[in-house]
Amino acid sequence: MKAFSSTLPVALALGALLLVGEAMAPAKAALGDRVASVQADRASMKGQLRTRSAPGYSVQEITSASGTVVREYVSPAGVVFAVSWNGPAMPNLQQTLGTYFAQYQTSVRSRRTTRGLRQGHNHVEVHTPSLIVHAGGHMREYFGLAYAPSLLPPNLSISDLH
Amino acid sequence: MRKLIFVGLAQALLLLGGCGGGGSGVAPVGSKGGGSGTPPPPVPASNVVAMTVDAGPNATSTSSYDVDTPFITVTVCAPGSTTNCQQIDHVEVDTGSFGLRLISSVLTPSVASALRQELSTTGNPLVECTQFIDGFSWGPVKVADVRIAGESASSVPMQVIGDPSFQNEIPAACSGTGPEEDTVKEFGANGILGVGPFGDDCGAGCASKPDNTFYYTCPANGTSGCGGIAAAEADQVTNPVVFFATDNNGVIVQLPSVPEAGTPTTAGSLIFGIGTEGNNGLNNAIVLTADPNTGDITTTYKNASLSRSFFDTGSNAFYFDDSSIPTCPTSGTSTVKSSWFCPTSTLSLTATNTGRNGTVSNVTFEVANADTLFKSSPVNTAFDNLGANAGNQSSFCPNSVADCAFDFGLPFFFGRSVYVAIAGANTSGGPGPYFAY
Repeated sequence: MKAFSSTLPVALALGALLLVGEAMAPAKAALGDRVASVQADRASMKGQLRTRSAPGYSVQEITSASGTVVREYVSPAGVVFAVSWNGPAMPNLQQTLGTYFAQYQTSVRSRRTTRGLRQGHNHVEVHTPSLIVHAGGHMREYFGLAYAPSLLPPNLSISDLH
Repeated sequence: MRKLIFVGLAQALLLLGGCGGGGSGVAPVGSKGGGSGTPPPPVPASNVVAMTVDAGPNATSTSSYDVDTPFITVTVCAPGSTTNCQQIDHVEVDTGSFGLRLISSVLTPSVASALRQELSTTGNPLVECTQFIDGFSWGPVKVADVRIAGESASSVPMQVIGDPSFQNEIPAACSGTGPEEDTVKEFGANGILGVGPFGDDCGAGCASKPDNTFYYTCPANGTSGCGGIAAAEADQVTNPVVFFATDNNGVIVQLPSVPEAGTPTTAGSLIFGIGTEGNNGLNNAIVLTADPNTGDITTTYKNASLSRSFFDTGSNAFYFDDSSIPTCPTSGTSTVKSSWFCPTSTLSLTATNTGRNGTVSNVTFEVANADTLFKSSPVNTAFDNLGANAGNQSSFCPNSVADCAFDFGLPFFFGRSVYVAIAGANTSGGPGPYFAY
């Protein structure tokens, strides 16, 4: 387990400044959005937010009222390039995937009716050029990861995330 | 009519199983290791219902066939009635969820109107946003009597999915969890029976937190106004097995071995009770106690110890992380990129399962080329060697790789008797929750 840093990286400080500027009209949270949107997520999830940094990225971790933890992975440029979750309920994916939610739904729906793609109720794999989702679990335990390959910071592999 | 035909088919398959133990001359998949061997053919008994793996209720052409999805027939009755009842085929059996849910459109008006609506503490109807991984199912919690084989359960809280009275007020917090699956076509079954290792579907969290995101209180025929609400465990959707008179501590999922190339359909059994009758003893099965909060066990695969692992008939493959196995470029009739594994030759793999009680069991399983399986046998629906890449899990396991999962989906269950003991229940193998095989 990585230690939580007490010093905010530069990107986050920029994000905080952006937040001040956007406080009157916060963006919906999400994959592909700028870090300022994290505060909107935290508010709508009635959750608690904590922040940590890792080499090449930072993580905004929100624990929602249901108990599910959502992590938003932020690039040095201040963009959310991945989200992950685990806990006793699904997260609000419309909120956490943002503009990617529509293609997520389309992809999952198309797989339901196609032999050789249908994966049952307890697992989802979405592989499109712009969006990758791995989600699994069962009742009382849900986990998953979604990311936009094009938004990954240079020299960072998705397997580097923690 | 369609339902009567199905029952007849299931009985015919039962008889076939009794004659040939699986039929085909193709050699069965080899050693399963640590298991109880090929289960005996299904024998009719009051605590046994025929379980069939087939193409599912939506199978209009082979391109839409379900794969590795088990079904049973359930009878649902108005509470207190023995005559206002309906037999419903193609109810999916899911050890990854808890409780009975039926799609509204398959219910007759007579039965649908006689099910008793559960009320929340506000006095309005209690409605649930059931969250599966692949989408949500929305509908009211109603009380029904349920009969399966010779077993009966009274006043069971169950869900009616897609009830028109509540479809115009789905909260955004619910529809945001994924694509809706409130019809037979979307859901892939006429209903689902969750027989996993817990009795009620959400547990203590939903009993104490109004923002649990599962339970809502809603005005009937409203267009908005649902609010999150806590629901006592006794009011939550609950596995009907818990309400059976004696065979109420768990189930056994029993499926025969299938050929390497798969088979169009196969029949096994869902048996109620563990150690409560002559036909449901543990015998030599190894008991792996499960996490009291999640129902998980630990699987060690290629030196990684994965503490959130589970056995799930609601997953249609072995889902795990192994970047050394190539995935299929496309799959079946689709051109969409697939996550199925496509090794150049069938792989024989091993994993070690450890219960929270420290009991260890080694298992052997096979992963074949999914593309070859689907293309060479377009009518086959039951495969014991389907695997899929679950992604690099170290990136989303909560704290470390130790929090990752190996999902033993339906392929694991062929050629085995898998026991699922419900949390808090006493069995001949000790208290649940546990899995045994």
